[in-house]
Amino acid sequence: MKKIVAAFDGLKFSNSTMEYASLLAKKESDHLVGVFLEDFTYHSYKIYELVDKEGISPEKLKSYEEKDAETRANAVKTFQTACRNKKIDFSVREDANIAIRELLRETIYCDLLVIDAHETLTHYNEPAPSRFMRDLLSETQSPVLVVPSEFKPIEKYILLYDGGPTSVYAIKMFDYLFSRQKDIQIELLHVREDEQPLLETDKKLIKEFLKLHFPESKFTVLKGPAESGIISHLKKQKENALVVLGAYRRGTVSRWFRESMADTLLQNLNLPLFIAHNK
Amino acid sequence: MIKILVALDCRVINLRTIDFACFMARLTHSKLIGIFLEEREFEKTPTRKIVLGQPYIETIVASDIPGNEARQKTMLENIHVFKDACENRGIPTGSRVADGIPATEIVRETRFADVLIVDATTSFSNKPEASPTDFVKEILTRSECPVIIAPESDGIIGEIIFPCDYSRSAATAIKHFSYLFPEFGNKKLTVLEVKKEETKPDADVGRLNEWLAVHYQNAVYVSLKGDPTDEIFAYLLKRDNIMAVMGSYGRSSLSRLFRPSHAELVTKTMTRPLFISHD
Repeated sequence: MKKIVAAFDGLKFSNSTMEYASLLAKKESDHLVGVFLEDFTYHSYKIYELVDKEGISPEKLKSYEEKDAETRANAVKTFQTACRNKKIDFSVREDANIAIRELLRETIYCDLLVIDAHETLTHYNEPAPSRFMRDLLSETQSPVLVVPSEFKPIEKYILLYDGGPTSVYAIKMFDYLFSRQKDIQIELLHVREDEQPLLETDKKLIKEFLKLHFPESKFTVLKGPAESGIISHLKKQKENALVVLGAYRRGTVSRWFRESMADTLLQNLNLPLFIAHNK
Repeated sequence: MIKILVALDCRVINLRTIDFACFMARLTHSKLIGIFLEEREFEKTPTRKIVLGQPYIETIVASDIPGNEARQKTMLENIHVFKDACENRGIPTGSRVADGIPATEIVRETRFADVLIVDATTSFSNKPEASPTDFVKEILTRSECPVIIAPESDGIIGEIIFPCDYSRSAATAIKHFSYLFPEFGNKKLTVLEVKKEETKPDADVGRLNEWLAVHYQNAVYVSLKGDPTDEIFAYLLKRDNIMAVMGSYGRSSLSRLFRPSHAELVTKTMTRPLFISHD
């Protein structure tokens, strides 16, 4: 039983978000909310396209606006049809307020948010993670599933564990929220950056935790720098893996100097990421 | 299956707390782990310590303290009582002795646990304390998983009461509660809102409603007028067989100096179980 929010850009409908969201919301009692983000500063045309010899032409503006409205209506229709075909209980929200603020309010009252990694809410192309995504990930109140632009079925779960509270929190949330298929392999990945091994007590506790929550999981420990180690390990995977990580808890200021692991993964990999943080 | 911790004082055992913990564990088919807390004054073996910059060897060890043997015996007996209580009810169990600074030991354990059950009167101070004791307050602020304050009466739960001020902290509390105890989904859930004066309904009522519809079959709204702290307290005291779900203690410690937190006032004379999630 879950309430899942799928966030869409009405002008660039992401089929992949739709596919992943409906994969998660297929249980009968689940509810899927399609949030179509609109921001009055955001449209598909550029302002200088409106300008001709006499200044801004009202006819041109009207025709462009009508075109945008039609694209948005079509996106909503696509969502509704897909939900009906898959027999998913759904509702639709079109918000004309500032996009990010509305979406953050939604995350307070939902269990999981699904969004495309390339969502920018601008017509400029930005490399992932866009400024919009960074703001969203640092302020979200529910776990977020960041999906690649192309849908592939999930064949493996990889849980990143760095010994810190946020990573364990993310793993707990993943366990509570994700209806997993039984036969999918689960791997817990830990990277030892320095020579210091995991605290003996922590090791016992995480093993006990895994035994109760993920009895069939595998525990992999790598040595070396965390970021490159994780990326090369993830690139080696033959299966399409879903990566679980806690992120973005560090203060904004420290993020200017060092990127969060989630940023690095978004830049380098094309895998769905389950991101949760507890503050 | 989740992992439930119960914090117990190894000198005096509270059978009501154990009964309640067993009830919760049986309900959710969970593993119950008893953490027996002991304040360590002296190490088991001579150790090197530093005082005023000078190293010295502390040769007084735990076994030199009069009454140490008797204390060890009581502890073993208490662990035995706990194990018997669990085994008789068919609950998978484990127990650990944590002999360090009690609050620090328990916080480490909570990172890898789903919920912690504690009695509001647990204290490691030599002076008599009002409940909640300093130890319990510290746990409430530092715990990395939700905490349940065990009731003094029998733990029959027929109704869930959720004092809600439409803050993210309140929403997080009810979300965590529903993830951990989906078994209560068919019980009555009362959303209790207290306002100082008549205002328009919150903009998020619809969103909360949508979330509740997925997780609870029978949710009702109660709206009261008055001072939130007093009204919630009075409302809870009037009812039997309830569990209260609260998300306080999220406020920074500074603001709490000026405004006593709900949860603190409620635990003072609480004879009903109280679920507190503070992030």
